[in-house]
Amino acid sequence: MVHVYKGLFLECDPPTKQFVEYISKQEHFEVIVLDETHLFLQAADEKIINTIQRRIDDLQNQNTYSVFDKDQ
Amino acid sequence: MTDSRKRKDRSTNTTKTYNTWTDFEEELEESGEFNQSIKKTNSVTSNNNNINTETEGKGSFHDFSKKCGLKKDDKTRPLWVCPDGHIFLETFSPIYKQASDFLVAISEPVCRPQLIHEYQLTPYSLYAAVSVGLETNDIITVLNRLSKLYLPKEVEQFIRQCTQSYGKVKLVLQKNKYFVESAYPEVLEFLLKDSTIASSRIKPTLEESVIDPKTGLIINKVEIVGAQISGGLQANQSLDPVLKNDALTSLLEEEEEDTVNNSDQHFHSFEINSQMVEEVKKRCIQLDYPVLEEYDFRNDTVNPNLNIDLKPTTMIRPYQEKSLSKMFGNGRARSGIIVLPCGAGKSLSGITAACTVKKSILVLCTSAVSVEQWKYQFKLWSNIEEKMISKFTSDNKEKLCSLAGVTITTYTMVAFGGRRSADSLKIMNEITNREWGLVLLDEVHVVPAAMFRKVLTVTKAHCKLGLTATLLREDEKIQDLNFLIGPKLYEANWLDLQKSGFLANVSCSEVWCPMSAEFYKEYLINDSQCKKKLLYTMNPNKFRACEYLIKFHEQRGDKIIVFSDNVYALQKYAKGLGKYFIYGPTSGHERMSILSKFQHDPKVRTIFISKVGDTSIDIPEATVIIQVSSHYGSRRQEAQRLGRILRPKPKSDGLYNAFFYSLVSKDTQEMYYSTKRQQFLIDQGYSFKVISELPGLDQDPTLKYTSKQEQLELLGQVLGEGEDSGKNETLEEDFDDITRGGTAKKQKPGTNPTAVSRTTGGSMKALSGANDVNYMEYQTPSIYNKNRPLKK
Amino acid sequence: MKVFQYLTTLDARDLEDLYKDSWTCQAIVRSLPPRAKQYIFKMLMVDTYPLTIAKDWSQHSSNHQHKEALKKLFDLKIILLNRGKQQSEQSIQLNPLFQENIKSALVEFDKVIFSNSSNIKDTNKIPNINDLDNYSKKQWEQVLYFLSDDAAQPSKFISDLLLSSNLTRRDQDGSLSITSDGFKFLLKDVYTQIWTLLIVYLNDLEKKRREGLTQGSRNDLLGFLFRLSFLQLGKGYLVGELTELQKEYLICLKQFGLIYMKSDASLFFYPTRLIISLTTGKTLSLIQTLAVDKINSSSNSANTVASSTIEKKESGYIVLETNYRLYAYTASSLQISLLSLFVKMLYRLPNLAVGIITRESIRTALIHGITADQIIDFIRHNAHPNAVNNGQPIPDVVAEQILLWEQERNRITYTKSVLYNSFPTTDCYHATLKFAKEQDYYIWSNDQLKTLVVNENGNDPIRNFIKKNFA
Repeated sequence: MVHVYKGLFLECDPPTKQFVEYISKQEHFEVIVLDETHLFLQAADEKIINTIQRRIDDLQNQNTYSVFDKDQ
Repeated sequence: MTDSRKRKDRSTNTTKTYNTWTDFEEELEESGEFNQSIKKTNSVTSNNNNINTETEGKGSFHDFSKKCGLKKDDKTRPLWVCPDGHIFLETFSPIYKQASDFLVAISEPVCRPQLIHEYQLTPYSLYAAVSVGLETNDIITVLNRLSKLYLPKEVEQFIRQCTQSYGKVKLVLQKNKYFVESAYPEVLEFLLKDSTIASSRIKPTLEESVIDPKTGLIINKVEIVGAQISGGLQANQSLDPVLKNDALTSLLEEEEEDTVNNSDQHFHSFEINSQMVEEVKKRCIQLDYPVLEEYDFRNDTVNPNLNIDLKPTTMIRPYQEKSLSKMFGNGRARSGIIVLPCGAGKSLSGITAACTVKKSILVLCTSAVSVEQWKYQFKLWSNIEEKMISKFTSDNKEKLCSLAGVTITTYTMVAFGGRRSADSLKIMNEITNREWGLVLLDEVHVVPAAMFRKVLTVTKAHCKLGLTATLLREDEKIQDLNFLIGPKLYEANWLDLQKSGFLANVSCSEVWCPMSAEFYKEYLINDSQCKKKLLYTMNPNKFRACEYLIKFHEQRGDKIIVFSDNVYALQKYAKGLGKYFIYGPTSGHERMSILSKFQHDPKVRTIFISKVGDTSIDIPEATVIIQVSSHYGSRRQEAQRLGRILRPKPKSDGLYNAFFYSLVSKDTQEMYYSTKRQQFLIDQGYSFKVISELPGLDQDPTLKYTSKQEQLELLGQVLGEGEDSGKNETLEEDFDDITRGGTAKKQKPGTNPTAVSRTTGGSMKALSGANDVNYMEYQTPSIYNKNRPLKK
Repeated sequence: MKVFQYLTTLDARDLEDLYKDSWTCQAIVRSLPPRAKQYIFKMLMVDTYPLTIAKDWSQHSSNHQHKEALKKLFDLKIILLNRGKQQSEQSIQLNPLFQENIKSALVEFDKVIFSNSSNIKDTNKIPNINDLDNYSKKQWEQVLYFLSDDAAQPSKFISDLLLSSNLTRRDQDGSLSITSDGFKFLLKDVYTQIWTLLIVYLNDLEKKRREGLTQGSRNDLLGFLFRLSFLQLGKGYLVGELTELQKEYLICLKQFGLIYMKSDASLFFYPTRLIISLTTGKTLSLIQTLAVDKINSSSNSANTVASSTIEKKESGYIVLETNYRLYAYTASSLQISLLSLFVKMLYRLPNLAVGIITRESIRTALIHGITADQIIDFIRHNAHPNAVNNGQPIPDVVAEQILLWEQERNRITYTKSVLYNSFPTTDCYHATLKFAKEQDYYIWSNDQLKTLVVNENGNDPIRNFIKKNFA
């Protein structure tokens, strides 16, 4: 029986793919690894996309120095 | 200071306290408190707070549009002054030059790119203004004259408040006697009400003193004439004539002239006990009348003269002249700090000052190599005789010239408080006993405050000149510096120097190297900061980028230096590419050999250098610098490394003739540090181009790590490395080098076995003899109190 | 000429309707290029003209212009083509309605549109031309303001109009924010801007008419607009002489700054320069004039909203430095609020605004739908002459960094799809793969993993395919 999964097909650069895989456990979503630059998110919806985007934004924020960094 | 104690507890083996400024950041970052503390450090080291910063955060919006009035002829005026002391200057104004000189004298440059510059008025900057002779009313008048807006009341108030008490009192060393001097007798009377000061006063010991019967104070009639600077230059008066000139006033509105006093002035003074000089200085600061220290060297008949002059072939550049004219503006030698970019000729400025003062000179350097360089420069630019120069380092203990001479030593040598060898002790005594005409303090931004304190206490100097490329200190101690040495006398504009051809035209780039998938995975998974660092340093794509750039530039005929703080990476890269490298353990002999090859052998175009390159090596000319791994967010290091290629180059079709590359691994912490490091340079007007792709890189099969297999092999090796590999190089102890924390030196075979013995496990604090005493024995002046309005 | 482009989009029936109105015809003729005008007059007194002879109207060398002029007239349905049995029998004729109207207009040339010869005098202060110009500016600025500054309160009419035109959009929390189109809109010249909104107004009106919601119609409004364009600047006209519908339009046009009325109940209305020159399509940017005016405030008296075009370069006001700091020589709140869309503002002085471009400020703009190119173009367009002379209206470093920040947001693409694996046999896999490719559902596949990813639309067809062939 062929397995069928509905979800989202992701295309991105290798480091981002690694990152998405990395956070998949923390953020509780399933990924199927396809290749270097592609992932498949099972049963994904808007919420997951937002979560991933948010995490990526956080990561980029962390790695960006700004003259106006506020005190934590 | 409790701070340093706290940090002390955190460190592990060596009880290193934070006397080397770098350590603070390194500890924090390695312990993984990365984000919070970084953000904290930012706000602390971010320079030039607003006048009223307490309530407002940085980056808040200030709407002064209704508050400030625009003058009718605003177009002819070059600058805006905001109520918070912030100043904007148009560089395309016809009087830009004069306006800029004026602003540099009264305010702190914030950023100076191509078209519009920003400055900030601070208490400190006004103190510096006053100390070079500018008067309150002059400052206000000229500022108003240059401003498009009517000068805001707050600013006028602020200027008055800050300059009220500064510059009114001087400490003058004349004929070996100390005098507290002022043009305002009432100020002296006020000071004398203080018991400490009163008790330091002694009866005038000079016969020719004229006493004012009313006040009991000595009166001098002093003619203020600009001193003749060695090299035949005339020191400027404090205010550029253009600013007071009628020619200018015909452009602008007529305002009341309030010229700087060039005429004869009466000075009142009282003599004090030379033993109590420190006390008196302290008290004056506490009373809000910090003393300016000036040396009347022309009338110093007691100290022997030093016959030294600049060689007639020595050419002084305009900005060097300008900086010195601030120092000698009123005929005496003022103490203070001169800020010039790396490679712009700081040494020559110092040497010229020495040739002007013509008394015994003490030069303090940051390393033994630096000592050699200074000696070389002295002989290059001046006519000093060999016998008049003496070196004093752990390797060279030369006797001082008996009468007057130049002694070149290191901070650590002088600050050392433990037991010395007999030779060392003898020379040290000579140093402490001599009255030095001028002390040149090299690279003041690097020296820890504690060390300074020690050095300046131990040596008696009439005048102190600090030389540095940047006033940035990552440890917020800059205000201490001001009061230990003196105010900033001059700060050069990097871009102007570049435009005039005194600095090379550098192209700065940041090359973004994407992390390979596997490396990135490990980077994300690993918690250890050191491991993370190692991973992003050894990113195979970074390696390839480096290789690519080296190939590209070697082909052009450039000389390339590659810096890597991380030793593991250094070796891997250098060996991988078949290039020479120098790091701590490299023997002196081998270093010389490699450097010589680099300079002369056309086949050796590239060398790799570790942290030793930052201070201890005299690196020959290069045209390209590539940074593979650096020290966190150190702006100083970035500026210093850039300085290695700033020396002016022959222009190649008017375009860039020097190249600075920073390789960063994308999506990692390295990006953060890289941007932070660049801030200082960006404020000077440099821009870092981002190179996100090197053309043809991916297709080049000759580069290493092209295959996945190679990359995985590398990854395996990297993962197998221990924690230490990720750390920066800890250099072997070199006593003289202050960046190494100066613990005891290992005994070298063949030298006297009486090398300095280890004391309390190598703590710098102990070595400088300041074990439990606060390194700051006096309060910073109350102007820095938070309670005071409008203060920083 | 926006208005004529608009007319060409209307269908023949609507145009017929329009041409019943004499003033519309006149307005059109007035604004046509000379050649087209001539052609019309040539055919004015004639019924038809053989096409072959028409060719001789122009020299051979200007054949291109000849064709263009004819095309324009055809598009506007001013000229109609009669197809004969053969090519040679083709002839053209003027649209009869059009013809009639122009003929009578020529005869009755002093017919007035709105009489202002009554004895009623305007008791309120009569605005002079300067006042009218300032008024237009102010009104229009309000509209633009609303686009860039949430605090501004527009009327419902304007607000709805902006939404319909997709210049603003309603966010999830109900608040309004500017769209990418809105940002582009702000960068255009005032005439284009007004026309854009007018067109939306016209279309909305037509839609409502079809739905029976209103009496007003597009043609009615168009006719009114054309009438207005014949009025004299500086003269007042009685509101009382307008139809009820026209009075309604008047109120709306007031909000655009096209008409001046002291209040909605005034007896008199005054056309402003904007409406009069609207159909002649001058392309002076009002914002530019605003900026230049404020800065040259000293020479106020001599200032009029110049009909001469001011070189874009002279009115540039932005200086962007390599350290990301931005200095804008302006006192206009509008320009400043426009800049705040993508710049973190730091200082505002009487004639200068200072800000800094940060990753955050750009991201905020990007999230609102503004693109990096738009921002870069905007800065380039408005660069201060000093910056331009220096060689770099916008420093390369900053421009590239803005683009990079945009790219950052697009690192991942998501596609709704379906994944198939664990195929029972290799044949099954390959067959399905072929099918998917043929049917254009294919997204990705991997032979080793025997995995196939397809578009979500393909799910049912593929499942059926598999069932049918491999069940």
